[in-house]
Parts: sequence; structure tokens; C-alpha cells
Amino acid sequence: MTNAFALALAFMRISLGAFGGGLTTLPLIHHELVLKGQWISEETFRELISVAQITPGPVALNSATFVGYRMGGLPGALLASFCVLFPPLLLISAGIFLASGQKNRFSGTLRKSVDLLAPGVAAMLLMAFLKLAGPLKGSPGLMAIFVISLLCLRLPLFRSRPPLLFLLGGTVALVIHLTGLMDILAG
Amino acid sequence: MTLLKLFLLYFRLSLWAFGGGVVLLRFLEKELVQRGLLSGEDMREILTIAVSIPGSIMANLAFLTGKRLRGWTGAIVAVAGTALPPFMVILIVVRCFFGEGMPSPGIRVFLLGVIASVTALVLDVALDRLRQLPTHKPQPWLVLCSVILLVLTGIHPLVALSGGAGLGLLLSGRGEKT
Repeated sequence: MTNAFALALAFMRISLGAFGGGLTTLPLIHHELVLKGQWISEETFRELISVAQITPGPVALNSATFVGYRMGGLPGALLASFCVLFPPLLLISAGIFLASGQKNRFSGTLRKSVDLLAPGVAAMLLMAFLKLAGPLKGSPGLMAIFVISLLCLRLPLFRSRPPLLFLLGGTVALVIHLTGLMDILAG
Repeated sequence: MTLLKLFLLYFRLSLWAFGGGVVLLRFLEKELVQRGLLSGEDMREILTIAVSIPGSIMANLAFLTGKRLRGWTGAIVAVAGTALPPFMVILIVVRCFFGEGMPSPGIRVFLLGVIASVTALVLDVALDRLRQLPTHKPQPWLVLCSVILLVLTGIHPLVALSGGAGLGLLLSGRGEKT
């Protein structure tokens, strides 16, 4: 019971800290689920992020459904998913009421706060990179996929469809592993 | 547009919106703006709000466009339609691949490959954001460094982010409310 409550609160905090898109949220999700709640391991966190990036939907919602289900079955998944969606929508509703129909007042105010958050968002992305880059160090195969992916992102084909690149990355890793070319799992 | 049609529209778009908010935005522009259900100006204002309010840009976009189309009920129906496909997909994935003693080594290797590519995207986006920061002013960089330091001390990222925004506000010298 207390666990369900803690889970609900964790996902509410995640939703309120999710500024600037899914990738920015990764350090926050990691902090709440791995460090604070200790509901999933570092390894499961990375697997969860991988799954979230190749399935539809926002990463915060994907994590909520994933962790919620593992903690408490379908009710857990519903609870966590609801908690990650609800708070921002409440904020928006409050904003709409406060701006009381005056066009561009709400969005104008917000534009200033976005400028204020920009350096912090960049910092979060760098932290997310450091967090995810961990397993690359011990594995030449993964390092190769990383570098090639970085180059592939210059191509419009992948630039506009990152999930395509991710699927390709996974497939290449699988091929390298099955052919015994390089050791993927080491590290 | 009936509520059922609204629900089905967002359900369909969300199912194909791999890659999140940006992709959904493109779909919505095609389905709503080009068909004259929403003006381009409305869409721009909605986008500004959706990206600056915390939370998933997808859900925020659905809520705001749904509200514009069918009022508060429409807003909730649009969010439900948007949230349901990812919810179902993750349930299926967890049940099929993440049970006892799973994921299997094959899946594990596949996901490691995925994460290597995701890491590349994260770095790419991070560098993009860094490039967008004004180079002639020291303030943003000061904020950037302090947020990184705060996160490294193990403080909650949300606190670090708010601290950074507060510092930015102080440094900017404009004390007025944002």
C-alpha cells in the first residue's frame, strides 16, 4: 500500500520535472526509479529506455506502465500511468483559467520560462548521455554502433526517424553477437 | 467531430507516433490544420504551451488540441486516445519479454544495441541544445555548470533544474515575475 503511494508520487514528480521532451527526463526517471525508489536495477533501466524508444508513446508514460505493471500488475500499471499523465494537464487547465481567454497571454508567459530553463535542459541532456554511455566503455561492438549511429544521424532518413536507427542498432548488435564477431555483453 | 471519432483519431495517430511529440505534431498539423479544423495560429500557440509545460509533449498536445476541438470532454478523450496505444504496447512487451528470468540473452543484446544508438541521439540533441545557448553571455553557461554540479552531488534533478532556473532569473537581473 505504502509502495503504491510512493510509486504514484514518484511518477507525479517525474511528470512535473519533464521539461523539454523525453530525453531530458531520463536523469529524473533514473533518479526516481533506480536511486530513490530502487524499483528497478541499472540494467533494467537501460532496457526500459531502449524499449521506450522503439515503441510508440512518451518515455515517461512507457516507464510508468512498465514499472507499474511489474510492481502491481494491471492496477499498478494503470495507477502509475495515470499519475504521470495527470499533473501537467492540471497545470495546463489552471493556465487556461488564469489566462482567461486572453490570446497569447498564457503562451507568452511560458516562452520566457523556456528561455530560463534552456541551460538546465542542456545540462540534463548531458547527464542523460553520461548515464547511458556507461556500458559502451567495456564493449567495442557497442562503441562501434554508437559512433556509426552518430554519423547516421546526419542523414535526413534517420534524422527524421530516430526509431528506425534504434532498430537498426539493435539488429546490428544481434548480428555481431550471433556471428561472434565481437563481444557485446562484456562490459 | 464526434467524441468517438476524436478518440479514434488520436488513437490512430499515437499508434504511429514513434519518436514522440514531434512526430505527433506533424500528424496533427496534417489532420487538423490542413483540414481547417484548427487555424495555424492556434496550433502555434498550442505548441508553445505544450513544449513549455512539463510533462510529455504528446499528452499536452492532445489535451490542448482536444480542448480546442470539443471542449474539456474533448481534451480528456484526446488524452485517453493518445495514451492507450503506448499503454497497451508496453503491457504486451512486459508480459512477453520481461517475465521471470527474462529478458533472454538475444533480447538483451538487441536492447544493448538499441541503447548504443539512443546514446548517440542523446549526445546529438545535447550538442544541439548547447549550440543554441547564447555564446556572448556567461550566464547560461554558469547555470549549465551549476545544474550539472548539483545533479552530480546526487540532489533530485527537479531541484537542480529549478535551482538553475532561479539562478538564471537572478543573473538576468530582471527581477520581474516570469
